[in-house]
Amino acid sequence: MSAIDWLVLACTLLLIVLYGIWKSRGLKNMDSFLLANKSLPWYHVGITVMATQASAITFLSAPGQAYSQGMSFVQFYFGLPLAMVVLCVTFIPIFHKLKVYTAYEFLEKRFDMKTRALTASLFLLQRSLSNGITIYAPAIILSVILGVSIHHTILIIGILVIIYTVYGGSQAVSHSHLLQMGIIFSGMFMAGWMVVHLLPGNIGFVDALKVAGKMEKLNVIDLKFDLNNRYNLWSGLIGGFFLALSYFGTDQTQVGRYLAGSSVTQSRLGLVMNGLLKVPMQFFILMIGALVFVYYQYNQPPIFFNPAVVNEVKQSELGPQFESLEKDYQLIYQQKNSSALAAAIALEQKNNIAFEEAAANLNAGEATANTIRKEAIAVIKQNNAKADVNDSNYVFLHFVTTVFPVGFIGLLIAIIFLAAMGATASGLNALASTTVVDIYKRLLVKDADEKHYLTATRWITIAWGVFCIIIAEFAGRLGNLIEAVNILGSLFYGTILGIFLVAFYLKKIKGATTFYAALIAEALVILIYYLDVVAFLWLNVIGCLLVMGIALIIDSLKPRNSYA
Amino acid sequence: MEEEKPPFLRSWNGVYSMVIMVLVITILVFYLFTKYFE
Repeated sequence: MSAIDWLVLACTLLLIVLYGIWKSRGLKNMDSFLLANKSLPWYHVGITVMATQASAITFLSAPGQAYSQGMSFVQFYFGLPLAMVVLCVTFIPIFHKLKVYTAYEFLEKRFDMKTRALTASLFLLQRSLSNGITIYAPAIILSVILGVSIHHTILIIGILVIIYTVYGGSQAVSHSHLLQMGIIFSGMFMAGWMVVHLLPGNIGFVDALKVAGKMEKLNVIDLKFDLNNRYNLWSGLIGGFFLALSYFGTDQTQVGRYLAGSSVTQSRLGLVMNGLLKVPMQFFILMIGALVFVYYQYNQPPIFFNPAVVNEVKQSELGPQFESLEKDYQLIYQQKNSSALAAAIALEQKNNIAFEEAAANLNAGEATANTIRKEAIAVIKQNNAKADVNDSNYVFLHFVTTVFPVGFIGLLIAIIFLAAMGATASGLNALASTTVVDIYKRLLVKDADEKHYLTATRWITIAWGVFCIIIAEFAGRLGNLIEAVNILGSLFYGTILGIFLVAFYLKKIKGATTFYAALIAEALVILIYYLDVVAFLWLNVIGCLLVMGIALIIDSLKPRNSYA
Repeated sequence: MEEEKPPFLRSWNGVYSMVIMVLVITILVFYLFTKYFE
């Protein structure tokens, strides 16, 4: 990366930190620190909610996923708008009416202290581990691409976030989100325009889509119901709905965002905005990935996109075998390139028969190329069984750093840092809020003044920040921790959502019944996971339904006084 | 306490119906998009 790119990167990151600090100057009370003074207008609520959900991996994984598997991932978000409606109808009015700081505070008002403490603890466990991964996942990719130590990338993300989150709390987080999302959207639009611009002169946007479509990269909708297929219309609508309801309704990372709305109306409109924009946004990011795939039909792609892994295997005794496969891959690319150029000419001449023939040849070449790539991955595995053989997260950054102009590369790298910082900042603020409001203030120091709690919240934010950095530092040594944290989330999210749905919809059920129903449901969810009956995403649905079902059964078994 | 009205579509039910209709139309457009380019 050139000096100008480094300058753009450094200035962009510094701008965000200074902007967050400047917008939160003069902060004096807990309302400002935890809920941004409950002053945000709807568009600000919507953007801060979207920035919290869109981690760096959103901008790295999604284009890579479209590049390798097509655009079907967008279906995963179909349940989100429906969840937004349920949240607007039920969750937001109650949270606002009770003037709570955290979602778990509501559970004590509705049930009892132990149900609140149980739910808050489950959240702290899950979110602290996830936040570490939110830092680690982009840090490893950026370290490989930038050629710097992963310790440096982890520390850059972690320390910058701690600085403005500790100084300005929710106020700094929300305002920095506004600027972050502005930069991110501008950068992604420019990236989309650049991909099309870099294609051969006779290939336009629609032509590129026709090529991508013929190569099965525009498979947005899959109507077939299949429990083993993670991304189809039905899993997206049902599984995605429960996941979004759990995440937005019971995870303080998100609840803290929309409770900062200045009124019920502003919070609701913020979530409506999220419901309307999220699906098109994901579609657009995935489409960039599909267009990058088309770009690599006209330009030689590497056989494997992670340069660190490629260097490692090339320096081993299996290096010659890998290089031989690399040459075969280049030869196949020459054939594919001829077919791709033929397809472009056929499209220009509007010759459908010639286009179909060229596309068939292109697909045949792609199949051969994939076979060679699989052999190369087998060599990588043979050299190092622990090597990361999924290179989809590296596709977009490889493309950016090899073909984009100076200055633009720095901006695109900054976008990844900003996305990581935005999601991590919300997580830290939520961890600190929950620790102070649900545990410290409620159980440990009950009657201190505002200044004491504000100071405590800042120290607790630092402590969680350091903890998340430590998790990020160890994540690489613990192998597939990313998947483990996703599974951990699915193990607990369903139960937490079940507790909230009982609170909202089953009015006659009391605290003790819900508490024991949650414990039994959690044990059953863990058993189901252990027996490996369904894909882990379905555990969200099962956990939620189990809590509600068991609570109803326990309640019906209770002796009742008919004259009461 | 009377519920605040949304700034458009007169009622919140109207806003929620719009969100669901937009989702249905989006899925339909994506389906046609998939079919057109396959």
